[in-house]
Parts: sequence; structure tokens; C-alpha cells
Amino acid sequence: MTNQIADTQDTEAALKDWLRHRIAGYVGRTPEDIRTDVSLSNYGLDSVYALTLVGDIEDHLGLTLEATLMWDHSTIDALGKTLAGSLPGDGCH
Amino acid sequence: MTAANKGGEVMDAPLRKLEALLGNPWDVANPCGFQAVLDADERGEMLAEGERVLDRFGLGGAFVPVSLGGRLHDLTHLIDVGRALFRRDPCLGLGHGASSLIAAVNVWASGSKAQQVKVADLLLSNRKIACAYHELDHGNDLMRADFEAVQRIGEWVLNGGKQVIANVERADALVLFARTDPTAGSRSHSLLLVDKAALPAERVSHSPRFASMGMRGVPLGGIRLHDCAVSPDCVLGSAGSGLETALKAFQVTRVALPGMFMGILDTGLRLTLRHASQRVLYGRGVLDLPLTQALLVNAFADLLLCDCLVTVAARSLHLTPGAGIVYSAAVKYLIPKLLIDAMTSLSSVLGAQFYMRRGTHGVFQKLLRDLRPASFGHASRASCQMTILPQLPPLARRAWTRPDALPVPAALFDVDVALAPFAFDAITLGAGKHDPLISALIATSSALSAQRTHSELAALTKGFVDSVGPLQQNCAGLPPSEVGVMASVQSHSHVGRYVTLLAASACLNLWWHEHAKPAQHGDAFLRDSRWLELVLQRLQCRLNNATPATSTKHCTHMLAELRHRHEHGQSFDLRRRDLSG
Repeated sequence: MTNQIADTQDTEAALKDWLRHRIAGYVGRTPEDIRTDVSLSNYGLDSVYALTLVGDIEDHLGLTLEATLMWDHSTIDALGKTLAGSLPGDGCH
Repeated sequence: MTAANKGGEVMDAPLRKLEALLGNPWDVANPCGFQAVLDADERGEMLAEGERVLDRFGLGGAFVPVSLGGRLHDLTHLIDVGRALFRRDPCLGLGHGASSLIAAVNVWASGSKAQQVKVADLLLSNRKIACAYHELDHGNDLMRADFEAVQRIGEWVLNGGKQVIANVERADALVLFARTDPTAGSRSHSLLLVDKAALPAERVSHSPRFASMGMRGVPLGGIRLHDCAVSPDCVLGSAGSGLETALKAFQVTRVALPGMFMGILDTGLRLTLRHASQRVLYGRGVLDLPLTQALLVNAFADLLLCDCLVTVAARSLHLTPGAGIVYSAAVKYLIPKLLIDAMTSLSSVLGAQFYMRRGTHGVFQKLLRDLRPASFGHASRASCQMTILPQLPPLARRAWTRPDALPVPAALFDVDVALAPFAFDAITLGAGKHDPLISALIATSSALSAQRTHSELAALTKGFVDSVGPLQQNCAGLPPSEVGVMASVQSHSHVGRYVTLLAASACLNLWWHEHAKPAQHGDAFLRDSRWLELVLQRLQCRLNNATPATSTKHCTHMLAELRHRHEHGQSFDLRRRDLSG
């Protein structure tokens, strides 16, 4: 059980890291510049582009996601957390 | 009559009824004829008798889903009704009809059952609703709307103004787009359905009609609300869902409106044919001049092209909604421009006559002015371009040449197959992993080449297929800075190319399915490949920035068809409707 929680936290951290790097690339900044607790619209990601970014995340994770995911989870922290929860776990269920 | 023809037959009766009610447009004594239409335009008024006729017809029911007691079932039928109106008077089409549709789709997409029933009742009783998105300061930049709704205990307080809104003064209800959260983001706006009667009169002001170059009869007004409190159940969907609902509703209207505006070119062609067949200059009938013939034939080809893309896009909203956000923007991007360019070129056949506001062809200049809003009204060409551009890299990477492309439903291109009632809740904003039109372009081109029966056509279609690879390479790696508002002109040019490929696919595949039908079920003109060859040549020229040339073979064939339809009072679009007069 402890391992499972640690795994989830690792996954969440890994996802957030991937997102930071991805978004840094999109907006032409370094990953260190991208804060995980501010709305990504502050970095110039407009609402229509956010729809297509969800598609990229789908490809990366092999999931089907709600198109408006990034509208409802507009910080990397929120996005990472919800995505980690969407991944198939390797625990009891 | 087989079951397969049901799709087409179902539409005939209501359209015949509408044509009969509108009467012969050429009869100067007809209160709904072109003379009356023109007189109303000169006065800057709606055609009163036209509005009465449409109420008798129960036009509002065409915009209400069947599940709510209306007749809205098949988007192509909806377009047919609107197009019939735009053939007669675009002001009637927009001011008595489409403006309520534009508002209503938001309610069908996101409204509660109670809200939907309310709007259905209004439209079914010939009342109007107005769609209040637009603010002059912000154009299509919805997210910067100033009009705001602030939540207080038990109420929302509305403040701000909306401008150039059709029927805002005489509508019973408004669909208002408001900012409901000051933070920047995609959940900061909401739509509200507001009863005008429920607003305190002293807190509402209307501005005088915005004088416009065309659509002169349509009451384009403005409204300003000052601290108007409304009930929380005015919100459509949940608070913050305004942008999501808008982008969904727009998919329907970005296809439907251009499809309806096509009626203007139909009448324009008819007026020009009438003029050219009567006019004699330099000892010859104007219609005998090769230049005239080419202009007429090219306008006819472009009308057919428009109908192919509109029809397929409308069917795709039913059958492949995953592509809706892109295909609908493609229709609104391309069709208005084609219509305006064709209508403008026809005006050159009329010559000085086109400039006259009175006389036999006086209505032509009104139609030309009324046509212009097709390109900027409701959603501008630029905003459609900006919808498509960011979708190109993911489409290029995931959809265009994937080996496991989903089979494209044959019903997409078979207009005689009846469609299931349109599901507003199936509209999606998702970036698709499949592009049915591009897949079908590649597949049909391959099948056509294998058949070896239409070598000219096969060569044309291969040209389009050969463009997919380079487009894919150009688009797959476009960085975010090149797909947003500051994208370069070169990046924007990919949109035009892509949309041209979509149009080519729509035309090719409609023909392919028509051609495959047994002779007694198809339309002989459409089954013949010559209209398609001409259309594809014109599209190929768009792709290559070349000037199209119309061969004698195509010109003679298309001109004969134009004259036949003109003599028999048939529409010039794909469906060849019987018209009054």
C-alpha cells in the first residue's frame, strides 16, 4: 500500500515535470521559469490552443481525455494531480 | 420511391409549400416578389408581408428540435429552408429566421429542459429571440467581452452593452454572453437566457438602429443594461460554460449560415442569365459571348462546390462530430469568399445594369450588399482561420496518413440516406485523431485510379493527394508561436491549402457515391463527371495560386445545364429544387 502511494506521487511528479518541460517548449521559456501553481493562460496559452494540447497529452499518456481538461485544470499542479488520478493504477483494483 | 430516397423526399413537401407561399418572384404584383423586396429595402424596412407569410408557414418550427415539438432533425434540411428564404430576400432569411436560430442553438446545446421548452414555445408561436454576443469594441474576441454578470445572493446583476444585434428590440428573450469571472481563463464567461419582459424597463436602454450597407431591413440594434438583476436560473448550463457552449453552438451555425447564404448566388445566377439572354450588344446576344458564358459557368461551378462542402460538413456534424470544430470553421472560411467573388464576377455581366437600384434587375445590387455579412457576420474569416490553424499540427501528426484510419461512413457522402435526429449533446470540442475527409480523399483517389475509367479525373484527384504529404511536413512541426494570433502569413497559408483539400474531397466523394448509384436513382448531371472536373480544376488553381481556365468542353456542358434549370425553374445547387415562377 505504501508503495502504491509512493508510485502515485512519483507519477504525479513525473507528469508535472513533463508538463513543465512541454509548456516551456510551447511558450519559448526554460522549464524553471514555468510555475506550477499559476494559470497557464498567464503564459499565453489561449483557450483554443489548450484544446489541442489536451490531444498531445492524450498521445503521451495513451488516454482519452475530456477536451476541456485544461480549461478546468489550468495550473500544472491541478493538471498533474487529475492526470495521475486518470492513469490505470497497478494496485489492488 | 425506395427507402434510400427518403432523405430527399422528406424535404420536398415543406419546401414546395414555402415556395408556393412566397409565390412567383418575377410577378411585380406579388407582395413577396422581387419588386416588393426591393421596395422594402429602399425604405430600410423588413418585408412585412414576407414576415406574415413566414409566420403562416411556421418558420420558427424549423429551428426547434423534433424532441421539443419542432421540425429540426436534419441539418441539411434546416439549411434548405433557410436557403429558400435567402433566394428570395436575405433580410427575411436573417431577420426573421436565422437570427433566432443563432440564439436557439446555445439553448439546445446547454440549456436545461425548462429553458429549452421556453425557447421552443417562443419559436413555435412565431416569437423571436436574439443572440447577444457581439460588442463593437471586441469583434470576435469573445473572451474580452465587457458585458458582465456578477453573482449576488439569489441573483445575477447584469451590466453592459451589446451592439449590432438582430432583433434585439423586438425579441421576447435574449441569449446574452457575459463575463462572470474577472480572472483570465476559459471558464470566465457564461451565457444567460433572459426574458426581456422580466427586465426593469428603466434599467434597459436601446440604441438606434445601426445603419448598414446591406441587410437594411433587419433591425440591427443595441442594448444596454444598467444593474439589471435576474434570477440565477437564467444561466445556460453552468456558470463558466459560456465559451464551451459558444464553440459548440458555432459548429452548427458556421455550417448552416453559409449554406443559407448560398441562396443569394442562386438568384444572382438566375438574374444574370435572364439579363444575358435578353440583352443584345454589338450585334450579338450577350449570352452568346464566350466571356459571358465562362463567367456564368464558373459561378455555377463555384455554387456546386459550395454546396458539396456545406452538405458534407452538415452531414459530418451528424455522423463524425469529432471533426466538427475544424470542418465548420472550414465552411465559414471558404464559402462566403467563394459566394462573394462569384456574385461580384456576375455583376460584371450585368454591367451598368448592376449599379441600378430600380428596374428589372434592381434586386441584384441589394443581394450583393446583403451577401457581404456572410464573411464577417457571426464569425469572421479571420476567426475561422484562427480556429483551424492550431488544429493543423495535431491533424498532421495523427490523422492524415495514419494506416489505421477509421472507415469513413458511406452515409457521409450519400445524400439520399436519411440521418438520425441531430444530437446537440454529441457536439464536441475535441481535437480529432481522425480526419474523415482527408482519409476519404486518399481512398477514393486510389479507387478511382484503379478503375481506369476516368483518367482526367484520376489525374486531378492524384494532384490533391500528392499535396497532403508536403502539407503534413509543413504543419506537423509548426511551433505554438506559429499557430496563434501572431502566426506568420506563411503559416496562415496552410489553412487555405488544407481547406481546399477538404473541399476537393467533399466534391469528389459526393460524385463518387452519386456515380455508383443505379441510373434510375441518381441525378444524371451529377453522375456525369464533367461538373466535377471543372470544380476540381478550379480548386487545383486555388491550391497553386494559378488562374483557372474553362475549357470549351466543360463550358458547353455546364451552360446547357444552366439554361435547362433556368428554363425549368430549378435551383442551381445540388438538389435542383423546383422554384416558384
